[in-house]
Amino acid sequence: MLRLVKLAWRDIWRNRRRTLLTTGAVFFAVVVISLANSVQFGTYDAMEQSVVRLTTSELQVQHPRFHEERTLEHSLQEKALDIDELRLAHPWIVAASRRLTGFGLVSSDSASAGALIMGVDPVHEPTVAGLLRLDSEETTLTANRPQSVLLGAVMARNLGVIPGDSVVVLTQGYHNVMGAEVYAVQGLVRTGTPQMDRATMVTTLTAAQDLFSMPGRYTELVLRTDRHTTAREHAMRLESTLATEEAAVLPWQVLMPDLDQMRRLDDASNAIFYVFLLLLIGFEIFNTTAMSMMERVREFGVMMAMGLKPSLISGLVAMELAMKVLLGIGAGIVVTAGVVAILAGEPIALSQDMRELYDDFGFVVDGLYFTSRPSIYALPVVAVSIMSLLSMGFPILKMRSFAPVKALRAA
Amino acid sequence: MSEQPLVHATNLVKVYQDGSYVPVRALGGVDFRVEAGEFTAIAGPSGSGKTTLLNLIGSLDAPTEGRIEVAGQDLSLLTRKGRADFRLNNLGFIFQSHNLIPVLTAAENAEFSLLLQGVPTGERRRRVLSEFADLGIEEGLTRRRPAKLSGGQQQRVAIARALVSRPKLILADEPTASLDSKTGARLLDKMRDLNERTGITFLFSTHDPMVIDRARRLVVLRDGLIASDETRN
Ligand SMILES: Nc1ncnc2c1ncn2[C@@H]1O[C@H](COP(=O)(O)OP(=O)(O)OP(=O)(O)O)[C@@H](O)[C@H]1O
Ligand SMILES: [Mg+2]
Repeated sequence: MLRLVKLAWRDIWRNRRRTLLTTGAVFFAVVVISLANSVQFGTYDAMEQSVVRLTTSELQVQHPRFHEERTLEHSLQEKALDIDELRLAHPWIVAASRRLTGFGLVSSDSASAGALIMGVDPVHEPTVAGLLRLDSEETTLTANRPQSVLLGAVMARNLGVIPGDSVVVLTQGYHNVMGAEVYAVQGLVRTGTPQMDRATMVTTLTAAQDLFSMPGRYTELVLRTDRHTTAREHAMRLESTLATEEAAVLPWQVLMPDLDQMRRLDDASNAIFYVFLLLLIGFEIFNTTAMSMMERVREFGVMMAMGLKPSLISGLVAMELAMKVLLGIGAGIVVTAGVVAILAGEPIALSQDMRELYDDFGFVVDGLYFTSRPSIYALPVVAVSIMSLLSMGFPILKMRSFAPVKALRAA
Repeated sequence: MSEQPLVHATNLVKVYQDGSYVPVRALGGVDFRVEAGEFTAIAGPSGSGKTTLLNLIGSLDAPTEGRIEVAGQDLSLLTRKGRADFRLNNLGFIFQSHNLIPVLTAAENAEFSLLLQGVPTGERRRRVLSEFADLGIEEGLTRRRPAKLSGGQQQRVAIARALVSRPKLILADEPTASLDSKTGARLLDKMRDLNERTGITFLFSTHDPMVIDRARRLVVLRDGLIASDETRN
């Protein structure tokens, strides 16, 4: 067996150029696809993370029906869920903060606008999401100014108000109790997404509870975790340990389906290119395997005459193929890992044009990020391996009907 | 003559029927026996069926009709794997040319069957080197690959390879055809010498009068039938 390995190794260097071609093709596919995966996974991760950490955070505990039907009846009781206990039981929860989200009509002297009214915990909100840290220091809400609000920048402009002015807010609160309140505009919120900036009003949790007549209740418990990529797993784990049946845990992918879907769509369009490239490589692998067999027919005939079993001969050819492919895969991974290691340190900044292009597609990216996680190699390695295994079928089938007499005639 | 012939072929018929061609009757019902220890040449004009007969005896091909026993084994009863094992343990082959595996050195080529038989490294080396010495293959050639050997040297390595596993029968299809007559004659003397010393049976096909002269038995084929069969000495 060892000698067969040695024989295979020498055989592949018999036609150096062909071996380099096959190995090079595999190498090329592995490097191109792995690098593409690295930058794609890395950039998506960075983008998702920045969007997630800006708005929804990784997980939210909500009333089981709140996500489908956003009414205040689907709210939770503060006393029912102890945040400290939760964090103690799940150390991967980095921060937690409650929100009360409802709808209302915000009016200035001159105009009115519908708004999403978010009551947030002024102390903890900045630890779970970046929403309130976008602007300058003075926009930070403080608990001791309960009658102050922040308005989305676009909404403020539409209403013709500036910080220091006041607005009147009308709501239909918990159990349909009407609410009306006058607030001072303390500052503006700029999230970067126009839809949000056009229709968001932020106030403190207690102020919102007063406005909606629902003291002690809230709609979302926002959880910041150590990693956004594992949100689904975390959600499942957390939900199974929650004491109350009256709460569901939703990962960001559910909270922001568009974001998740965008990535899937992009993955699919890349897959087409990869399949094309891989088929090309697969053809090359099959071709060289077939060729290296055809031109050694005489030799195989001699080997068979000497008493080498046909299965060992197809094994030899398969081994040769495996060596070439593994060399290509190995070299591809080493080179990619090296390149990624250099690039993973800092993102490549995007030019203004590129950034705008991404912007048009709804991406928030400031650069290209490379990830070094092993899954970037999965597709090329698995695909090349499968195609190699399929190509090994050729020598196996060929040897099954191999006639040594004919082979020996071929001088 | 012993009780049991080494090769016992009865009524061998081989018809080649390749696709659209008219069928070729290469052997037309041959009865043929070879006793252990013979040094026999099969001669005859081109196309008379020499290679066909050797291939059938060597279990490389199956007859259309008839029966072959080699070393007491009915070849038709063997599977493909069984035939490979049978060749490994009973037969040695020497072809006209291109006998050697190009990527293996002379010594590695020669020890190939021993390797397949599971003979340990040390003994393989010893047997190959003594065979090489016997056949006059110099030390310096053992590590060369076939491409760096002359035709005569290659054939000697091929003979060493066939001999080293001490088969019962060596089948040689025109072993000297690719060599000049002097080299061919020397090689044949060597084989005859080995035949006398080891008792290994040799069966060759040939056109070469020099080979025919040295054979102890000469079988002549014509149109797929045995035209004459004479034993000398
Ligand atoms: N695979 C084959 N298909 C068709 N016909 C074949 C095949 N092999 C041999 N023949 C034919 O069978 C006959 C005998 O061939 P064979 O090779 O046994 O002759 P030979 O005596 O060895 O000739 P040579 O001295 O030229 O080597 C020839 O007519 C040849 O053309
Ligand atoms: Mg012939």
